[in-house]
Amino acid sequence: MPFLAGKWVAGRYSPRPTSLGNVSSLLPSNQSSATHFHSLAELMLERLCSILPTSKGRFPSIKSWLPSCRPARYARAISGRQNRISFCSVNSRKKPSTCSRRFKVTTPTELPAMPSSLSLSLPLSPSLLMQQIQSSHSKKGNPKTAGVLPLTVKQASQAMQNPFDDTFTVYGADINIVTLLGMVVDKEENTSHVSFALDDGTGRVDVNCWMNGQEMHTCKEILKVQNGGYVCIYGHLCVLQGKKSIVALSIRLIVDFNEVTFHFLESVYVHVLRANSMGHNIPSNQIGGSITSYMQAPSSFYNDLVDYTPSYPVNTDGSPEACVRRVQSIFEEPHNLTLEAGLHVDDVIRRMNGFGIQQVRVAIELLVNEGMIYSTIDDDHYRSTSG
Amino acid sequence: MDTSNPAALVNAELLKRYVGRRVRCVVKVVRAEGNSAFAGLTSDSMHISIKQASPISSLSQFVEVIGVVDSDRSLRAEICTNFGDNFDMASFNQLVQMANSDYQPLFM
Repeated sequence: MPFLAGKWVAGRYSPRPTSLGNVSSLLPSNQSSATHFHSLAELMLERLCSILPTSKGRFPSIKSWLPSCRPARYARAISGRQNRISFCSVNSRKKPSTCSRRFKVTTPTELPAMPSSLSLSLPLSPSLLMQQIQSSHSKKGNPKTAGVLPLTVKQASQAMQNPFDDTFTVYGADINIVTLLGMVVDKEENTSHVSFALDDGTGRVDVNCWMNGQEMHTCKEILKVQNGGYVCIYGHLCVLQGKKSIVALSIRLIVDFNEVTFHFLESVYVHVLRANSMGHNIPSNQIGGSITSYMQAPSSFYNDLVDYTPSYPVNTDGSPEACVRRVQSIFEEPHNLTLEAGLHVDDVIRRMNGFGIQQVRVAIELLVNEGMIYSTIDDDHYRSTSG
Repeated sequence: MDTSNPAALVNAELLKRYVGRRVRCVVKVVRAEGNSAFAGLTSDSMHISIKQASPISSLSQFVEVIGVVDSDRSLRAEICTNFGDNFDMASFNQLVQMANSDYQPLFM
């Protein structure tokens, strides 16, 4: 299994080959694809265990994946041979302040309409690949939007749409291409496009595949699939007629069903990795969690995510109005009314579990504009006008 | 996008948590029980009974059953999908445990 672990330092990704895996194994091997997802799933479990310190010993039956094993090679067929190279950092547990970013780059031989940062059509030489990635990152200048994100339909349904454009946000970062895996239902075929719903057990999402242009090659497997077949979809999340749906860039039939296990483990893994990178642990039953401190780690890739609020409202009252009401009630508490200087903004934020810093600040501004509170000794202290 | 009717990933010990609800479970086919039912071995090595399933001759060694839980040892199948003959139950079992404990919000 080829792994190049790298580190994000000061905004630049520096790859280095690790001892885990032979880099030259990117070259074709004779290993059959049947064992790939089996060992991939096991590896994913091992990785998850390594980045979840509390889970040590909880999964004792994981077979240890020995680097000396002949590495499995990702071999995917889209309409030919496609190799997916996964870059993981092994440092994510030991040095939480050193950011690690996991992203995948697909290098199909026949390219779907992918954004330029991912349009790599080259022979599988790892050094060339890394150069391409680095150059595409510096070109685009916004590495946050590179990469392919594995999601469950439930996670995708919780992605928040950015107000100013058509992109979505998950884990506080823009998402570009997502991958989903599930069963095809309600398939409808036209001359120009195929549409179906993808049911992965966590929900259903509408998928559209426009069969002209490049998608015709990368999505043509959908023509062979019947209702009830399992597919893996790479595509963009978008809003069509008011509903979130997927525009498929590439569709592939599942033949090895260990991939199903692998996909869900991968979604969990990426979720945990991003949560750890954001500098706080996601509480066990909350995806959004509460940000109680700003993120540390200036070298963190996610440092500029410090302004993002959690993408998922933690409770059903995650709306801005509920936030404003709660902030107002905090200011109007009898004890707080007596304070000369009022409350510091940080105190309010600390009490607003489940709401992000930005949300609270917006709420405070709104209250100031409405005349409910006013600033006292400085811009960070506010007091209620009532009482 | 519709997440109103999820099917939880389960093994045998989690069946009792979802009685009457829709679940997904991968089982290894053990033997037929009559015409339209069979006994299956779940990922945590317990035997459960799958009712209203396709005939066993059309099933591969591992089958994903999506259906409604009847009791803590039986499942009424709606959809049976052949998952082939090479399926890693150990990894799947750990996925099921994760999906029902720490990472449940990602799935349900």
